[in-house]
Amino acid sequence: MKAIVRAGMRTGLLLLAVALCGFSLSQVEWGDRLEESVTDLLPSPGGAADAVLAERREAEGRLLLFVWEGTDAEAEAEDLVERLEGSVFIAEAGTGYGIGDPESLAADFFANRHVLLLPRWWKEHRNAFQEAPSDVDFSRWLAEETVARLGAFFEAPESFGQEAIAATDPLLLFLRPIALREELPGSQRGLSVWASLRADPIRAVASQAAVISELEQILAEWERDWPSVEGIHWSGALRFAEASRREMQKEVTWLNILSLGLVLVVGGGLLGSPLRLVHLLIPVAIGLLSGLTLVTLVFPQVHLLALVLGSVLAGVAIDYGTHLYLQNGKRVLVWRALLLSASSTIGGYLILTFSSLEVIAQAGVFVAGGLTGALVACALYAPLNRDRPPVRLSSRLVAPWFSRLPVGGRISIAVLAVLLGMVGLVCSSWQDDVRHLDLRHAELEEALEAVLGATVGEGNGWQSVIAVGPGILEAASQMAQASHQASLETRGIAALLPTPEMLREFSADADEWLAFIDRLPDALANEAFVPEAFADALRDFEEFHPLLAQPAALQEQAEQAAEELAAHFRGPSSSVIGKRLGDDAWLSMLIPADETVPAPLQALDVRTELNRLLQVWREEIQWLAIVGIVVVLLVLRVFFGWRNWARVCAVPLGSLVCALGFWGGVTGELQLFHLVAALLGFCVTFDYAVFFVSSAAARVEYPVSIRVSAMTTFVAFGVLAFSRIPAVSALGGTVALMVVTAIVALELMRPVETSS
Amino acid sequence: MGALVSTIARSAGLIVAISFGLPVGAAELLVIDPDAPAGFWTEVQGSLAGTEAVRAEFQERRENPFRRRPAMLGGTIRFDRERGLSLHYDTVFGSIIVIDAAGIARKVDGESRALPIPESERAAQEVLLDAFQMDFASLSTRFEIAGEHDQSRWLLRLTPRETRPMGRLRRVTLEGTGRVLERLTIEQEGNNRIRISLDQHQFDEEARDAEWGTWFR
Repeated sequence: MKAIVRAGMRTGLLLLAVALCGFSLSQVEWGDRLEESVTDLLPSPGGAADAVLAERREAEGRLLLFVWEGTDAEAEAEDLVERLEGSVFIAEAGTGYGIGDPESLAADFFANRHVLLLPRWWKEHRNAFQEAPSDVDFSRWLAEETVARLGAFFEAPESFGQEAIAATDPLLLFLRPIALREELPGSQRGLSVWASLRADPIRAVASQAAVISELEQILAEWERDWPSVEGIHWSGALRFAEASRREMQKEVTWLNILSLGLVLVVGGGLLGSPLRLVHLLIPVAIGLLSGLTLVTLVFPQVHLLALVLGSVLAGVAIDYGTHLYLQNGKRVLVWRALLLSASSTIGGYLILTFSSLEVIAQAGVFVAGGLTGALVACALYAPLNRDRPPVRLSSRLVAPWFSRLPVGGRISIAVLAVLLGMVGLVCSSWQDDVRHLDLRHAELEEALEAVLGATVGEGNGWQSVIAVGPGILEAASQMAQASHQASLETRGIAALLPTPEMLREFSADADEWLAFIDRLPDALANEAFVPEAFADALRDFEEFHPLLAQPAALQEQAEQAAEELAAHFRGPSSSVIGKRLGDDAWLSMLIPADETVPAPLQALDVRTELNRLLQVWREEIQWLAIVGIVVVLLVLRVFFGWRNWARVCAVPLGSLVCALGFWGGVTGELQLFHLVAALLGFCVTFDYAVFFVSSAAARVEYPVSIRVSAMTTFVAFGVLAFSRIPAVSALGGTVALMVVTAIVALELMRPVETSS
Repeated sequence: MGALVSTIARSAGLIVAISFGLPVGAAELLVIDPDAPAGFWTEVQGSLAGTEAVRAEFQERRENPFRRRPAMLGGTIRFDRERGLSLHYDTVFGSIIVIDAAGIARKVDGESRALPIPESERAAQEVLLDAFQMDFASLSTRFEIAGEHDQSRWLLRLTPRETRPMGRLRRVTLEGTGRVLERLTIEQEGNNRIRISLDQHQFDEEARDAEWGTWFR
């Protein structure tokens, strides 16, 4: 009677816990609380700069680019723009790369050359004069230098036809926007068309397919009306997002079905009936429920990736039930080993909660809370704690070959495997690429390459960085300072615009400017120029002086001229330069892809930023895992003697080195998910080692639960190794290999059987 | 009255040319230089138009109203009927300017970049290609053509029929002997003058060196 009451109370407690978790989770607004997009992993906007950056990234995500080969590109492009603008999904569209008419941009630059180009020209010459001091004063030196350059220009082949412009602009400022025009994407290539979607395709998941369908229809009709159009390529985040979602759903579905099916077949086969597996799944389900409840109570927002990283939970929790279910009458011994193993794993994962990165801390809380819940469920769920007849496995599953191997041979195998693993680790390097989380879409990547090749040229070697400031010239100042500190060459429009400091310095030199103008006619005459032919330019210079002498007015006019320039940049080029309704403005430029982005600049490209984040996470997980593993193993020394402690340590550590070394050696690279898998594999194999050593210490036979657990884990994760998603494949392959190596290690640790 | 006579003469020349199966361009030239011996211009035009490739050394003298000292340049000029015209200047950086059907470009490190030539100056550059192509039928639509001859030497003056589409271009003078174009003079509004003298001509297969294609776009 007492036993029935006790069992009833346990079941009641279990149901109460489930009900509380269920109630808590039912109160969660999942739409607001669960972040799914990879872009959600980026730090939330903290200030104006972050808000601008987020806005720019979203704008880039909305873009679509179309390129093709045709005979009447201009008319074809204009017609396509018109058709695209007729779609409800398209906010705006345009030809080219969003710069409009490059001639008009260069003309605007030229028209405002005194406020936009002259300050930098002045500063460059001031610096040159200081670096190579001359006997003459600055104004004379500058006049002579200017005329020398003008002479060289007149004698250059390329000057043909530009002599008249040079006469109106003897400082040759007009050459600067011309050089910029050559750098601008799309300026040297055939026509292309861009379009901007109304909705962010990453978030507006529901409409992705409809948008693509409509665009395909528009393109089909357009191609039909323009038979000259050939080889149209179009690309944008939309196509990748839609293909990813569709393919990932398929991939994850078949992987899950296959994995679950194999676990049921293998586990059910070993246990005698698949229904018995239900008993093992109860603690897993309660563990997941309690983990999820805890993480939603602790964190206001939970990212899906934290739950994926926390998949460790299910993998480990199922082993707890397996050990108890297959206790073979050794309940006390199993519970002692279980508590030791589980508390170590939970403790290890709690260390992750110290991470400065929220997604890792979330994974830590999810796993630690979930494993605690699973452990409590194991204690309260009666069928797991019932004594039942021992389950015996077929002798074929016990690897008899190992049992007859001599000790020397066993040590040699173990040492050789670990050495090979270490060689593999040395030969590999970490690759932090967010594309590992996604399926590769060869067709879409080909289209993207074609689009980029036709618009921006080779884009792979460069990354776009953005500076945000209160005003365009302030942003230019940030860009200049950061580039200077990081010894980067400033390119693009940022390399032309003046900074506020430059304008102030130039204003302070207003008298020197007048002296320079005075010297210029003589310098021109000395080099065989006809000074009278430059009269218009000299008059312009003089008329500029009053503005130069008023720093505030000069700043204001320069900022206004920069804003006028920004109006030329739309669509794909809108991130190059621009200003929001308030004062926040931005400027971007390209720097080599392998350069670290110098603060306060930020990478505009989401992928670059995510790759950087992945690297930070990987390094943080790496160090936290090392600390966690070392602490757990050291604490474990309290419960085991030296020999047994060494065996407990050897199994998971050896498996980890072998598995990571194998994949590192085979592929030459390791990624974050190999590391996450290694952590999961460590917990699982550590669990086997604790049970094995505890049983051996108690002189009971090799626990059958280890093999059952290992086989189900192996088939479940082995299937994942065949995934086309690199991260999933890495996770599955590493865990499966660690399980195999751990089982082999345990077999090698078993006593040698003699033939007698 | 003069224009009327000219038109009648041109029409008559065309009829004669068509009757004798002459190319239209040559017929035009018969009119612009009626004193020329029979077959002179036909032969000149035929040999110029039949030239597939030319390579020659050139000296270029640029005069403009902004500077008293003319700019002196030189290098190798290459003409290919299919590819266009390439001027390789023997300056420090060895600039290559390419003029072809796609426009005017500068070739830097194997990559062609469009030259920012103002619209008003473009015709003066493009006429260089016309001079080598010697498509009189096409030239006569844009220019009044006048010809002179002296023994085997010839001289053609091209004057834009309409000044507006020709920008600042005012006159082009071509001088040569037989198929050899020896001098081009381009005159622009505002005392701009470019004179290009050519020598050491090589024609067709002899002109095409191993890297021939690399000199063009």
